[in-house]
Amino acid sequence: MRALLAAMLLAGAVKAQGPRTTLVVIAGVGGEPRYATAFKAMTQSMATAARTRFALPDSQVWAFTEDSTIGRGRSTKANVEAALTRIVSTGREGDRLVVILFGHGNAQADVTRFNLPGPDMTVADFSRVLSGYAGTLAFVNTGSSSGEYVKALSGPRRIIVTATKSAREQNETFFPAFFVKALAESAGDTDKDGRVSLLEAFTYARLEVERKFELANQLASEHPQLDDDGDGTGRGDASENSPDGKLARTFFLEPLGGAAVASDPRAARLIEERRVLEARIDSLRARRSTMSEADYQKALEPLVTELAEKTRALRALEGRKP
Amino acid sequence: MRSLRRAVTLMVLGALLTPLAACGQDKAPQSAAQLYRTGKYVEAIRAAEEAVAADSTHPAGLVLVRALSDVGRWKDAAAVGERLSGRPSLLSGALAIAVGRAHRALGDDRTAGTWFTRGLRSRDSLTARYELAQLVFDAGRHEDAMRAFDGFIDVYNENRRALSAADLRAVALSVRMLGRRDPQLFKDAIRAFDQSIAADSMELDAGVELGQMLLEKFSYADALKALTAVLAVNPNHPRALLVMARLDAAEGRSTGPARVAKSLEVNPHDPEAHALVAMQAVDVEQYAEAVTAAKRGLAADSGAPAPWIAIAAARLLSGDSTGHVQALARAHARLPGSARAEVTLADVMARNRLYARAASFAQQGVARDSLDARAHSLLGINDMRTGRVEEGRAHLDRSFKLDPYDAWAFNTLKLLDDFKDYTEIKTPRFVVLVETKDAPLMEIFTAPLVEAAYDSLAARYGFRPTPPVRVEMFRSSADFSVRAVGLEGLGALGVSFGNVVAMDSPAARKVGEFNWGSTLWHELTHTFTLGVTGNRVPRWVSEGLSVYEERRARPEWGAAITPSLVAAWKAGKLNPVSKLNNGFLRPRFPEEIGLSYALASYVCEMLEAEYGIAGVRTFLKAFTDGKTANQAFEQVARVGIEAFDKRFDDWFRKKFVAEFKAVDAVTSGEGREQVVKWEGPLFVAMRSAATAVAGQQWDEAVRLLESAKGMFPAWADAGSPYHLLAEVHLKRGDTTAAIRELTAITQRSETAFEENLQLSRLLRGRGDVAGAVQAMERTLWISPFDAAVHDSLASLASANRMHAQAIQARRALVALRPTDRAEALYQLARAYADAGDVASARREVLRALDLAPNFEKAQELLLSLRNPEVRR
Repeated sequence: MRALLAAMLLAGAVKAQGPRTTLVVIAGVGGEPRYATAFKAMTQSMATAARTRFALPDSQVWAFTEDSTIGRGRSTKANVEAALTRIVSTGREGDRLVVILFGHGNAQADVTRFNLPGPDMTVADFSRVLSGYAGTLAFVNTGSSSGEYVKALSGPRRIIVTATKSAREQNETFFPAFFVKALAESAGDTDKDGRVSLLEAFTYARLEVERKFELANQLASEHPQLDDDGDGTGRGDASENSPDGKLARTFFLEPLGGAAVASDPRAARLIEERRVLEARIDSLRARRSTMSEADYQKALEPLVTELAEKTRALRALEGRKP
Repeated sequence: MRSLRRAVTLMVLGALLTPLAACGQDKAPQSAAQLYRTGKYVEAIRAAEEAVAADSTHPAGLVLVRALSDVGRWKDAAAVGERLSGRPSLLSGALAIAVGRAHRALGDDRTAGTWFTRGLRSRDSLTARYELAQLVFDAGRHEDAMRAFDGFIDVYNENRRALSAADLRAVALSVRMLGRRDPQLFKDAIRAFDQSIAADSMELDAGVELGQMLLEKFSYADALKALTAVLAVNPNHPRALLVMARLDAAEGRSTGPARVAKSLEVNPHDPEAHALVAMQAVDVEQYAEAVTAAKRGLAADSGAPAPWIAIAAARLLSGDSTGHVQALARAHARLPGSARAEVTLADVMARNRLYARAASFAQQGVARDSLDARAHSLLGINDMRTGRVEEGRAHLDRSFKLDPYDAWAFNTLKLLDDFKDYTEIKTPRFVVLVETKDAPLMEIFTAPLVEAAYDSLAARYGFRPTPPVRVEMFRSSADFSVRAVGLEGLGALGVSFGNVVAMDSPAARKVGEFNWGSTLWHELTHTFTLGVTGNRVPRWVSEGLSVYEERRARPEWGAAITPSLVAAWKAGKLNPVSKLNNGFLRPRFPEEIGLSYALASYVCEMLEAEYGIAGVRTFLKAFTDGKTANQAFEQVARVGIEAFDKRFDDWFRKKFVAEFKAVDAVTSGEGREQVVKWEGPLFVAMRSAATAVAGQQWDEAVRLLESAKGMFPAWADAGSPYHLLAEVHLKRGDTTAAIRELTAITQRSETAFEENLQLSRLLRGRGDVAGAVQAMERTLWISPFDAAVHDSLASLASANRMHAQAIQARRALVALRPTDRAEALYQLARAYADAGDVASARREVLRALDLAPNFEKAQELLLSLRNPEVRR
C-alpha cells in the first residue's frame, strides 16, 4: 500500500507539473543600431515577462539576440534551428510552444526570409523545424514581409500572428512594440480579467498600428493578421465571433491566479458563483441585439453588481482590498 | 450601338490633296497660305489679294476668304468669296462653304444655307453636309439634324481611307453631335479629329475643335496639348486663343484675360471673345463694364447669342430684371431648343454664389433640352449645394448617363457613394455630416460650436438661417474639393453655399496646417452674410466679415496683420477697397488672395468701429436691396467707394502706425512671378537678433527681440520675435519669461499646436491649472485626435475638480476608440461620479462592465454608486 501510495503521489506530482509552456524569442539582425537596440530591448522585455509575469522557469525560456548579450546565444540559423528542433522533439500533446520573432523580413524570388546574423531562415525552414510539434504552437512574426508565414505554418492547434498581410509589405513595422506592450505589460488586458490572451494582445497591437497610421494621415503599410482555425488564411478582424480568434482567445501566458484561496471552500463557492454569474452575463450579451440600451443596462446591472459583491467577498478572503 | 470602325491606316492618299495643300504649287499662293497658317493675317490677306488680282481663279482666293473671316471681316470675306466662286475651279466648293460660314458669322443663316447647299456639289460635300446639318440643329430641329449627322458614320465606315482631312473633320464634328445620344461616340469623335489632324497637320481648325471638345469633357491636359500644338504653328489663331482662355479659366490660371485680349487683337469682332470678356467682368461684379464688352460682340451680328447671354447675366446680377429678360429673349431667338443660355447662366449664378438661382436656370435648361447633360449636371450640383442631396443625386445620375465624361457629375456621384461611410450628427439647428468613425468625437466639439456660432451670428446680423443648416466635414481634402467645385485640387479649407457648408475635417490635413474650429466659424459666418443678403453680398465683403468674425470669436482665430500684409499694402500691390474683389478673383501674385482675406477683414472691422454693427447691417442691407458696393458705402459712410478707399487707407495706417513704421516693402519680379518682401527696421532687428541668438549672446538677443516685438506686436507666426524669445528664455531657464512669450503666441496664432502644449506643460509646472487646461483646449480646435492631450487634460481637470472639462476629455477619449475601452469608460464614469452625476456614472460604468465584467475597479465604483453619500 505504501508503495502504491508513493506511486500515486508521484503520478500526482507529474500531473501537477502539467503541460509545459516554452517561449522562444528571436531577435534578428538589426542592420542599423536603432533597430538592433529595439529588437534586443523587445526580446529582453519578453524574456523578463516570461519569468516575472508568466512564471515560466528559465529552462522554458529561450532567447536569442544578434549579439548574444542576453539569452542563450546568437540568433544564428544554426542556434535557432537547434533549439527549435530540440523543443519540438520533446514536445508532448498539451504542451505549448510560443515563438516570437523581432526583426526584418524580406521576400525575393518567392522566398520569404527572416534576417538573422549569417544565413537567414526562410519560412520553409521554420515550417520544417516546427513540423511534427505535438502541442499547441503560437508563432508570432512581428516583422516586415511576415504575411507569408500564415499560409506556410497554419494548421490544427496552431495560432499564427503576423505583422503584415503579405510579403509585399516590406516597410519597418510598428506592430512589435505594441504587441510587447500588450503582452508583457498587460496593456492588452481589455477584459480586465488580469490576464492577456493572445487574441487580446493581437487586437491591441493591430488597433494601435491602425491608429498610428491614421493619426499620421498615412496609408497603412502593415496589416496584422491572425489565423488559428488552420485554414491558412489570416484575418485582421480576428475575434471570438469570427472564424479566427477562438483558439487565441483561450491562449494565455499568465497562469490563472487565485489558486491559493481556491483551496478554501468558501472561496471555491464564491468562484463558482462568479462563474455562474459570468455565464448569465454571457447569455444576456447574446440577447443584446433584441433589447434597447436602457433595457439591456437594466438587466445587466443586477448581474454585474452581484458579481462585484462576489469579487469583493473573494478579495476579503484573500485578505486584500480590491 | 453604332460607332466608327477603327481605321486600318490613318494616312490619307497623297492624290487627295486638300485645298490649302494645293496652294503649294506656286510661289505667291504658297506665300499667302504660309502666312495665313502662321498667323500673319494682314500679310496673308495682302499676298492673297495680289495673287487673286492677277488671277481670279487662283487658289489663294480661299486663303483670302478664310483670312478675312478669321480677322472678323466677314462682310468682306463673303463679298470676295461670292465674287471668286463664280469661276469654276477645284476650290469652288470650299469657297462656297467659306462664304456660308461668313454669312453665319453675320447672323444670316438663310444665306449661309444657300451657300452650303452649293458646296454639296463639290469635292467638299461632306463639310457642306455637316454645315447644313448643324444649321438644322441650331434651328432647333434636333431630330432632323441627328438623322443627318448619323449618315456620317456610314460615310466613314465605308470610305474612311478615301476621306480628306476636311472630310474627317466633318465626320468628327458630326459624331461629336451624335454623342448627345450615345456618349461612347465622343471617343470616335476624338479619333476622327486625330485622323483629320494626322491627314493634314497644317489644317489647324480640327485641332482647335478637338481642344474645345476635350475642354468640355474635362480632359484639360489633352485639351492643352491639342491647343498648344495649334498655337505652336499659329500663335495668333484667334479661336485657339479663345479656347485656351476658357481652359485657363477652367484650370484657375490668371492668363485667360490676356489671351482673350490677344484673340481680340486678331479678330476684334468675335462675339464669343467679347462674351468671354464680358463674363470676366461679371465675375468681378463689374456689370456695366460687362454689358459694354458684350455689346462690342454684337457689331457684326446683332443677334449673336453669346454676347446676349453675357448681357442677360450682367443685367440679372445688377438687379435689372427687365433687361435680363430682354437679353435672354434675344439669345433664345438664336437658340431654339437649346439649353446653352441656361447652362451658361446657371454656371455664372453658381460662381456668384446664387445657387438656388443656378439650379433654377439649370432646371429651365433641362426643360429646353432634356438631352443636355451639362444642364442636368448643373442642376444636380446646385441642388446639392442648396441641401437637396437626393434630388441632386438623381439629376447627376441622369447627367452621367448622358455624358460619362462629365467629371463634375462623375466625381460628385462617387463622393455621394462615399457618404455611406458618413454619419449625420443632429443638433437643434444643424445637421453635421462627418465620417462615421470620427462622429462620436466630432460631436463633442462640433455640436456646441455650431450652436454657439448660430446664436452669436444671429445676434450680430439679425438673421436666422432656416434650420437645419447642413455642415459636411470631409476626411479628405480631395473629397471636399469635389464637393465644392466638382474637381480635385481646390486649395481652400471650406466653402459655404448658404445653408450648406462643406469643409475639410480636422483629419484631412496635417496637424498645425489649419484650425478647423475657426474654419467652421468662418464658413458659418458666410451662411449668415449670404443669407441676410439673398446671396448678393460681394465676395470681398463676405470673406472680410468671415475673417473678422473669426477674430471676434476667439482672439487667436483668424488672419491678422502681418509684415507681409503691411509691405504689400505699402507697395500698392493690394487692391483698394473699391477693387478688392479682384484680389480674390483675379490675383496678380501668389500671395494676393491670402493677403486680401486679411485686408478685407480690416475693412469690415473699420466699418464696425466707425458705424457700429448697425452700420454693418445697413451695409449688408444695401446689397440685399440690389445696391452696388458704391451705393452701399454711400448709404453707410456717406461717401462713394472711391472716397472710402482713402478713408480706409488712413484708418488702416493709423490703426497700425507702429507696424507701418516697422516695415518697408521691396518688390522684385514681374507679373505672377512678382514677389513682395518686407524689410525695414523690423527686418534689421530680427536679423541682428538671429545673429545674437546664434552667438548665444542672450542679453543682446533679448534686447533686440523685445524691440522687434514692440515694433509689430500682432505678428506671432513662426519665426516671430515671440518664438525666438521663448526659445532663448527656455535655454536660459527663465520659465516665467518663456511662459509670457508662449502665451503671446497662443493668443495670436490659431495653429500653434506645439506652442500650446509646451505652454500647458510650463503652466502646469507652475501650478496654473486653469491656464494649462485652456492651452490644451486651444489645441483641440487644431486637432481633436490626440489621445495624449485629452488624457492629460482629463487628469489635470479631474485633479483640480474641473468636472466639466474632465468629463469632456474623458468622453473624447472614449470616442477615440481606445484599445482599452473598458478603462476609458471606467474613467469617464469616475469623472461623472466626481461631478455628482450618479446616473451618468452608473451608465458608463455599466458599459465598462459589459465589456469586462471582472474589471475590479469598475465593480468597486458600481458598488460605491449604490450609496453616493458614502462614496462622496
